[in-house]
Amino acid sequence: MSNPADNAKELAAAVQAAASSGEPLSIRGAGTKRFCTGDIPGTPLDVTRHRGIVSYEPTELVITARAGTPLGEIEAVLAERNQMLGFEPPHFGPGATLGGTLACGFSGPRRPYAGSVRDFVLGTEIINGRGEMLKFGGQVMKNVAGYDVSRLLVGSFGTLGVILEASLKVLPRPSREITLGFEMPAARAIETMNTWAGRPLPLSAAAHSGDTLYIRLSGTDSAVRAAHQRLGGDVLDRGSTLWMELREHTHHFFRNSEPLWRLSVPPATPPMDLPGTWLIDWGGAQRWLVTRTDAGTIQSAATACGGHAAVFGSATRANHLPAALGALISAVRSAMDPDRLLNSSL
Amino acid sequence: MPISAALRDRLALATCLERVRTDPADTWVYGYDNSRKHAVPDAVVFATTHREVRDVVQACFDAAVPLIARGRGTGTTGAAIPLHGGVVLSLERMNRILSIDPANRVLVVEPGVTNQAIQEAAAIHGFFWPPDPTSAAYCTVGGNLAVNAAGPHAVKYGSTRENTLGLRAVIGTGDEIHTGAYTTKGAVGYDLTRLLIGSEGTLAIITEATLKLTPLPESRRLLQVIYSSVRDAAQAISRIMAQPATPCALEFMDANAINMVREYAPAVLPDNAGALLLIEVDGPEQVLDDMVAAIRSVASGHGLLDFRAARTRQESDALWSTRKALSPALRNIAPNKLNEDVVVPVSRLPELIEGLDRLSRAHGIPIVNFGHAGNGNIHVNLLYDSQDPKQAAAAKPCLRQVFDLVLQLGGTLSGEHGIGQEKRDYIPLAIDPVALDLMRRIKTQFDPKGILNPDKIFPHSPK
Ligand SMILES: Cc1cc2nc3c(=O)[nH]c(=O)nc-3n(C[C@H](O)[C@H](O)[C@H](O)COP(=O)(O)OP(=O)(O)OC[C@H]3O[C@@H](n4cnc5c(N)ncnc54)[C@H](O)[C@@H]3O)c2cc1C
Repeated sequence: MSNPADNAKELAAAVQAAASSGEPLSIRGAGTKRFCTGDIPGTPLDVTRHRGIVSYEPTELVITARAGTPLGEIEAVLAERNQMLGFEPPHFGPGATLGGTLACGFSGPRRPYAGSVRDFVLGTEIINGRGEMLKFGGQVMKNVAGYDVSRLLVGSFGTLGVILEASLKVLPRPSREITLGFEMPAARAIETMNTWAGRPLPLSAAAHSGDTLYIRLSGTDSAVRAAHQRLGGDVLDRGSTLWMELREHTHHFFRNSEPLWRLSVPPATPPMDLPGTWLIDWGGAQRWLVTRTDAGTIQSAATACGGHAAVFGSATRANHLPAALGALISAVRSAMDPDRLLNSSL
Repeated sequence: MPISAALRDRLALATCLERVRTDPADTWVYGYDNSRKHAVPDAVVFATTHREVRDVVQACFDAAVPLIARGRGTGTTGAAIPLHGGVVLSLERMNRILSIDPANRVLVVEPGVTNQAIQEAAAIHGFFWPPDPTSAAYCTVGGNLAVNAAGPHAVKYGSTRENTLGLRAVIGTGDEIHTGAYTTKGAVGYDLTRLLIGSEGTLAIITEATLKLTPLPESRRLLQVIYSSVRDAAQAISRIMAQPATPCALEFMDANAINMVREYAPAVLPDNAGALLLIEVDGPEQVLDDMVAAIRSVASGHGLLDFRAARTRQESDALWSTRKALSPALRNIAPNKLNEDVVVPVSRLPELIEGLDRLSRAHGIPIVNFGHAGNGNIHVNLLYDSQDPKQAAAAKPCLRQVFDLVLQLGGTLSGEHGIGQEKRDYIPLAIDPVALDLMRRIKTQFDPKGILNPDKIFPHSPK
């Protein structure tokens, strides 16, 4: 485990210096999500040295850690107490930090059933574009005192502030978890996943790849047993590896040189008529497509069914927002970072 | 100050003459909420469509007149009160369920639909919408969104924020925005959905909401557990929350609350009861026995006085009746009450209750506490008589010390009721000046003229 270190003052000083010189900053964690942000021009601001778990109260189901803390370290500490991060974050590489995870807002296979990374953030401490330190929210499970700025930071790719520290709600680990496989084509898999999601079952993941529907059940022994009896299907030996591979994009589906598209659609949308290879996750709501089809065709197909599409690892910032919303978002950004010093290319 | 004839005409043009009221006989009742504060609006407008809302906001923007969104006025913090007059925009007639999509588990509604109407529409398809305020029969989803309302089931299913996928809204300039996406993960842009939720009508008027539905559980089982002290109960709560069979409700009553409802309880409550927990579990019938056993094993421990599990619907109704008797009992015992909904970490619950006891004795004001213990959200009720000069003078200073105590324990001022007007002046205790300043700047981006629900949440800025 790394040595904890409080580097907040140095980081704030660096942002203040940037604010007075007007020199933009490129906020850096472990660099595991660079594929997504590209190289951000500006003086590097290394957050990895601001690391360590600040407090962990297993009985409160809350952990507070500095942004540079490796995700793996947090997960290991939680695992010792039979707890976990409910949003099952992808690391996308060794050393992935908490700060980068929050800034990018990625969640894993459990997301539709347990909630997204945003749903687990209770409070944050940040540095704004003027180099001021601010705190939002706290360590309690419910809070309606003031605006929910913490959640606004999640998925903002470092454009609103440098995340210094975050308090997260954690979950008890299920006492049992199994993965079931069912041979069926995509159309039936989508129908099945959604029918089951509409029933009170202990689902924690549902994906379709090749010709198999994969369902993960998590909960108490008896709840998982009862659900398995009801659903049938074969228990997979390497279930946990499968979800890890889907989460980390190490599954063979992702080993491909053609463009990888991520389509975000209403989960019950029937299979879409676009050429390429598909992998369906999040109970139908997240669809991966490996294809050479042109962008316009894919995007209009996604829009037609009420969703959107983007090449994964690019264009994380939406350029096609309606004018009023775009202006508002840009104004919110200016309120936090008036000189656009933070990750200005995003 | 009456609104100008020009504004009145524009409001009538935006809606229709019949739906713009300026006669005090009509507007009076739109000037209060459940905080019992009152201020008469200069006009009340009833909108029936998104377009009308947009035109009303534009008219108020042009005239620079305050505009206060109103659901059904059940809020407890004075959030819907037109402090400086202006226009109250009542959304109660925008009460249509626009679509229900069981395949995708999504419900699209106008803001004036009551929480209960949503539950009824969802139940037809085997779903529910988790936010379950006690006021469900009367309050609107617009009000629920504006304060991030919740109830007992939030401990397992989350509050309004975790159960809303997207919003359509009109910001203070009259511009329309869509936030979130129909799907569960709109990762595009900033998360304005969660920002609007809990913003109490100060950033935008919500005109449409896309709600995420949850399958109704097959069955439920209710347990009542009594401990000799809050400390013992708090430790049990932590043990219960740390095991995987998360209850769908975990309600708490302190000794003062227990004493108030003894006569309503289905079975004699032990004299030395220091804390009572009502625990509900849900799931398929065949696993409930195991869940009850799991809860029973972690609930057992120091100070356990009584454990009972309802076996039938009647038994469970009888156990809930103890909790439900509290609100009317409180009303009967003291003419006035300050009803707060603070949150503390569960492990600090004993210190909270002990501290409140001390404050109660020091100020001569009875304090009764109950609430959603699973997430540390406690309803603190200061009971007093405004006709008793001593008590009347002590109530506010006592409240201030309650907030000091809560913040000192790492807690927050409100878990589900919001800040509104009542708690506005305490906000600087909880949020530092830099963060407050930033929130004000965010507000300015949504509402450059400051017309949307002015002087709520944030105290006057020190200029
Ligand atoms: C008996 C009783 C029990 C209660 N129990 C609970 C409980 O268990 N849990 C809980 O959380 N609350 C509870 N409440 C409080 C209250 O019912 C909730 O806060 C509810 O969400 C308010 O809804 P409303 O429609 O009455 O809103 P109002 O009181 O009319 O308004 C509340 C706020 O919402 C804003 N607003 C309303 N509609 C919109 C809109 N469309 N767009 C933007 N802003 C809007 C208003 O401007 C105001 O700031 C209770 C109240 C009572 C009287």
